[in-house]
Parts: sequence; C-alpha cells; structure tokens
Amino acid sequence: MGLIEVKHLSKNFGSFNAVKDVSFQVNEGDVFGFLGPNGAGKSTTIRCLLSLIRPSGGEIKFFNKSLASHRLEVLAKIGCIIEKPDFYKYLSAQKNLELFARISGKNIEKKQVLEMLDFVGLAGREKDKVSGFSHGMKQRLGIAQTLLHDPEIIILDEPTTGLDPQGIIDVRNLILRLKNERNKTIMLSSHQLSEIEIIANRMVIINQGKTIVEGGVQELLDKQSLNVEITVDRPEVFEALMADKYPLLPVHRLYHSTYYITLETEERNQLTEVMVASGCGVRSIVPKRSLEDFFIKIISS
Amino acid sequence: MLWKNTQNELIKITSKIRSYIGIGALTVLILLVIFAMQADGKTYIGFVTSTFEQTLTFNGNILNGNLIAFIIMQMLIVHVPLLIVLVTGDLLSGELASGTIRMLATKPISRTGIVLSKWFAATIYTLIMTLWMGFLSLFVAHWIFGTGDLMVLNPDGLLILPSDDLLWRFGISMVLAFLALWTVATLSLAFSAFAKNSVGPIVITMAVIILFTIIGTLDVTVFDDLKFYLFTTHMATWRIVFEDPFPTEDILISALVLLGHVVGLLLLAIYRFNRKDINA
Amino acid sequence: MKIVSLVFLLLMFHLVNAQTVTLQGAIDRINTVKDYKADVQVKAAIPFIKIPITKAKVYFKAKNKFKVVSDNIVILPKQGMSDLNEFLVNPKRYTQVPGEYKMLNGLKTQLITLLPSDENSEIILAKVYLSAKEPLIYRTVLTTKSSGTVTIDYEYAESKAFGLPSKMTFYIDVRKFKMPKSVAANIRSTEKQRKTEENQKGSIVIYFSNYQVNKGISDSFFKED
Repeated sequence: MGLIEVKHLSKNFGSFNAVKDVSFQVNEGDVFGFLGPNGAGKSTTIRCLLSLIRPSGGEIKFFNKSLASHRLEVLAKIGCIIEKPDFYKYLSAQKNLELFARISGKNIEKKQVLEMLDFVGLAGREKDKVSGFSHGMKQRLGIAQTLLHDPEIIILDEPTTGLDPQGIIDVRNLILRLKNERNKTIMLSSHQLSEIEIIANRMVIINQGKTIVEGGVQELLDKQSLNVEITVDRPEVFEALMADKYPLLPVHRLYHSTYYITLETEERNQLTEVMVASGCGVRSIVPKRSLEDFFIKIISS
Repeated sequence: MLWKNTQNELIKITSKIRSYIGIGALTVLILLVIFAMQADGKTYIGFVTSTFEQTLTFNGNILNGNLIAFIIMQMLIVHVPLLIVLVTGDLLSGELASGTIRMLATKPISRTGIVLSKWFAATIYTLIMTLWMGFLSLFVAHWIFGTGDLMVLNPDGLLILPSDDLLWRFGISMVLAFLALWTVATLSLAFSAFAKNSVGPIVITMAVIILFTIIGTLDVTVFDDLKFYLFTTHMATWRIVFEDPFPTEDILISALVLLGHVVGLLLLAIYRFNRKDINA
Repeated sequence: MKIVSLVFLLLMFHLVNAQTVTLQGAIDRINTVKDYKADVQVKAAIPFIKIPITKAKVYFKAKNKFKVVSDNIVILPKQGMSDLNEFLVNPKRYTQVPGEYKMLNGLKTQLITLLPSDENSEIILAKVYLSAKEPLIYRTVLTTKSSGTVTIDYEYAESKAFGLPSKMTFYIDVRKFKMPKSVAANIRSTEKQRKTEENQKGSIVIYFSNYQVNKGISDSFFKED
C-alpha cells in the first residue's frame, strides 16, 4: 500500500499551469526522491501535498485517505520543511519548538523538546533567539520541529539548499538515521540527481509539471549511461588504451590528464579493471550524473 | 486546538516589541494629556466657557478627573486604532512575510482555526488596550484631579452631568470604545488575510479610517445617507453615552452595527484565508 | 404683660408701615449684613447649557467678598450677586430718579431708576422696584456694558430683616454659543446643527436657606484656592 498516492495532480495559477499531470506513489519505509529541474513544479506539488495550495485537479491520498476530506488527521502524521525552515525570530529555539509542539496534535512534554534539540545538535543553544542562528542551525531546528511529534511521514523540500558542505553531509546523515533508526518514510525533493542517488531508494522525476519517470533509483540509473571524469597519471597510456579497447567511446580531454567519458551500462564494470591492468595510473574516477543529461536520455529513449 | 493556538498567538504578541509600542505610546499620550491639563487646563476650560463668561460664572471643580478622562478618550479614539492595527494588521500577513505561515499551516489545525485563534488573540489585545486606556484616563486622572461633575463639551453646547451619574456611563462608553477598536482590529485582520506583508494592511486600515472619518465629518448632503453605514460614524458612539436623556436606541443600533462589522469582517477573513494559496 | 407687648408691637408695626419706604431703608437693611453663609439650590435654564439642579454653600462678606463652595459644578449669573449690593450701598455712585408705582406680582412697588455718576461704571443703568410697604427690593433690572440686561426678581422669607432673599430669579441674555472645533471634535455629528439666534434668554433660579448672618467669616477664607 502506498503511504502517499498522487494521481494526475494539476494546479493552475490563473492561465499558468504550474503542475499539469503529476502521479507517483510513496511506499512505507521509502526514502523517496522527488526530482526535477528548477521550475518543474516540485514545490507546487509538495505544497499541494501539505494543503498549502488547493490543487486544481487530481487526487492526493495519504494512508489511503483523501487529503481533502481528512486534512487534519493526515497533517497530524506528517512532519515537513518547505523551502527553508522559517521560525519566529524573536523567540528562542525552545520556545519555537514548544509553540509548534502545542499544535502538533500530540501531548509533547518540555523534556521531549529538549531531547529533540539535543538530537539535532542544538543542545546548549535552546535559550538563544532564532534571529542569531545560521542557516544550518535553522535547518537543524527545522528538522527538530519536523520530528517533534514523531510523524510517520517526513516531507523535506530541498533540504540541503543553501547549506555548506558539512551541513549537507549532516543533513544526509540525519535522513539516513531517520530511515534506519526510526523507520520513517521520507520524501525529499531535489534538483540534484547525485543527492537523490546517495540517499533515496525510490524516486520520481518530473519536468514541466509532468511525471517523466518513477521507480527504484538503482533500477532507473542502471539502465542509463554514466558520465565519468577520469584522472590518470599517464595520459598517453590511457589514450592508447581507449583507442585500442573502446574505439567507439567518445573521450573528451578536459585538462592535462583528466578525461570525460560516457559509459554504457555493460562497459562500467570492466573499465576499472582494464584501466588498472593497463598501468595508466588511475588517480580518480568520479561519476558525473547530471539531471539534464538523464532527462535527455529518458526523453529520447 | 483552537485554544492552544490562541495561547500561541498570545505568546507571539507578548514576545514582539511592537505590541508594547502601542501600550507605551498610549501611556505616554495619556500622561502627556494629564500633564498638559495640570499645567494649563484652566486655559483649556477658558476656551469653552469664554462664550458665557460675561454673563455667567462657573463654580466648582470643572477640571476634574472625569473631564480629563472624557478629553483623553475624545483625543485618543482617533489614535488608538493606529496603535492597535500595528499589532493586529501583522497577525496573518506577518506570518506570510516571514514564512512561518508554512510551518503553521502544515500543522493539524484548520485554516478557520488559525484565523479564529488570531482573532481571539487580537480581541484580547484590544481588550487590554481598552482597559489600559480606561485605567489610565479614569483612575490616574481621578487620582490627580479628583472627581466632580462632567462638563460634556458638545459642538452645540454644554451638558453638565452629576458625578454620581458618571461611573456607569464611563463603563458603557468603554464597552463601546472596545467595540469600535475591535472593529478596527478585525478590519485589519481581514486586510491581513489578503496581503503578503504587514505594512499593507496597517496602511490600508488607517487609510480607510481616515477616509471614512472625513466623509463622516463633511457637511455635504450627498453623504448623509452613507454616513450611517460607515463604521467610523459608530466608532464615536461612546460619546453619546454622555448625552441626556440617555440615547438607548442609538447606542444599541451603533453597537449592533459595530458587532455586525466585526462578524462580517471576521467571516471575510476566514473565507479569504481558507481560499488562499500559500506560496510564500 | 404679654398682651401689652403684643399691642405695642402692633402699634410699632403700623407706625413703620406708615412711614414712606425709601431705597435708603433697603440699603440700611443690607448694610446690617456684615457677612452671611447660606445653602443654595440652583436651577438653571440657560440656552446651550444643560445642567441639573445643583446644591452649594455661598459665603458673603461685606463689601464684595463672595464665594461658592460645592462638590458640583454650579453656574451663577455674573452680575447681580454681590456686585449689585456693592453698587447699591454706595449712594455716591449713582443718582436716584424715583418713578411711578407699579404692581409687581400683586405687590405695589415703586420704580427707582439709578443713573451711575461715573461714566466708566460697568453698570450703565439700574432700575429698582422697591416695595411700597417695606424696605425690600423685589426686582432690579441691571444694564451693564458687557452682559447686556439682567432682570432679577426677589422673594423673601426668614431673613427678610437683613434684606436677604429666599429666592432670586435671574433673567439673562446668553450670547450665541460657539464651541471651538478643537475642543469638541465630534465625528458623529450626523445631524445638522440647529441655527441659533444671536442671543437667547435664559434664567437661573437660586433658592436660599439656612442663612447664618453675621457669624463672622475670616478674609482668608475668600482667597482663591
């Protein structure tokens, strides 16, 4: 059974169709990636899911119940951060959480609030006003707010946007902990395929307000070619190897000893072994999967 | 849930500096009037009695706490709404501007519940402002100036009401002043449901009050029929409580008109906010 | 003995009555009052002013000290309270012109016109209606520079021996009322204000009781608070 089922969702703002036809299903225990380029309709869809926006058409179900008719019941089981977590700046972190706890539909003790602040690494800052918090701290406070009432589903809209590299890692780890330790169903939107690839098990990709593809992350990615950036110690050996073994593969030299190659699925597993055996001195192989490329491939296929 | 969110709204109001601007400004204004009256009240009274001074003498404590309270209320009824809308005009739109509305609207509370809890909080804030105005103007003025008969300064003459006939009148006038301010607070809340920042509703509410007041005071026959329907006309009803004979019917009508405005504007705010797409 | 006394009194009364009543007689009575204190009740019917009946205590000390003490706001006429007495008791200030006898509320009175000797006097003209029977003034009509004409009717009871009235009714002219807009801002003025004539007549009735005459009042009492 899908915990979230979206069927043919559409939303018009006047004559502008922000979402035309989006359908997907999130299953229990999924870390579900909601992927699409900027302007694809991700935020609008997520706002529809959280009833911030009234859909123009289609159907949204949570726990097999229509959102339209069971709004409060559904929202009580959801934790979310939309866009960026905004708090009452003039209140402390603890006061903010207490405020949201009071209307979460559950009886949450002060102790639980403090524990949650500790969980997200804000212990000792609970009395500080949010106005003095960095973006990363607000993001962590946002996650605390999301988890406070122990929701069954967590919806995160671009949770790593604007964070520094360490912040991105922290959030990713936190999401994985939520899945593994707390067994939460998580839906997160992103415009970066690499991010979804790391943490999600299922995903949907939308573009121009329409669902393009939905399925398991590995399953979808495995079907596609992979762009890799390869840096070697001995470029002349590498070039000779490529000309000999893979004469049909387009190889672009980016810098002195760095190359950009597009590999088909069957070539991926062999290449590393062949390169090591050739003695070209492999320094790094970095997968470069861009959403745009992925789209082009999917659409063209 | 409604009461819990009302509690939240009250916490927000009491934690914001702007909520105290109103109370602080009100206090300063009232103390200024009291100080001015203490320093130069006799001249002020002279303006009023000058017409009669060649024929009559006015004896007794004219410049008493009751008159000061009356003057303060007369002066402040125009200004207190501004101080109130500073807070109430920000209740919905402020959350939209700061983005906190996303957090609030994704909690298991209905949109109607959000508006109602904000309206309850606005009502309590308005009540506190009214009571504070009443306390300062009546009790502090009495403490400094003592009690006495009230000389009501009407455009067409003077009415002197005995001091033992005043407390209940002040009580009713406070209730009516509250109704007037409540209307303004609900009006700003309704505008707030349409706006995305708090400046708009505050400015528009004040503009409406000023416009309606000007139309109400213009002695032009074209507007005569319109005046009854302007809430600003009824905002000054607290004053006719000090008329003799007591105009029960007029007061009831005005109170009903103001209450009607409150209910109507609240319904408008609820309707608008329920239909609002939160894109912020 | 009692009967002899009674006959004597009646005889004296007849003799007094038979004497010609003069303004000086009235002034003499007034002059016997060095000070007094009395309870008053004031009923005012003045255009543009609505005021309930008020109570007060009034204090007077010759020649012209006058004070009203009340918890209420009390409106009294400006002319005709103490200033008239001050004018009357100083015969140098005016010339008497005795006039004809007139019936006033069933009482025979003589009209005496007083013309001020001083050109700068506030009082331009005073008409006094003196009872033909006893030295008491029953009406004065005062014309002053600033207040126009004030008519005062007097009634006497317990303190008539001092020439002190039990009731005074003032008929006054009130100028057109104009409230400064800044003072009476009324945004509820939906009705057109009624046009008023330039001057309107008003009356103030003062009832005096519990006179305490010549008990002594210190000057300091009359100083402004």
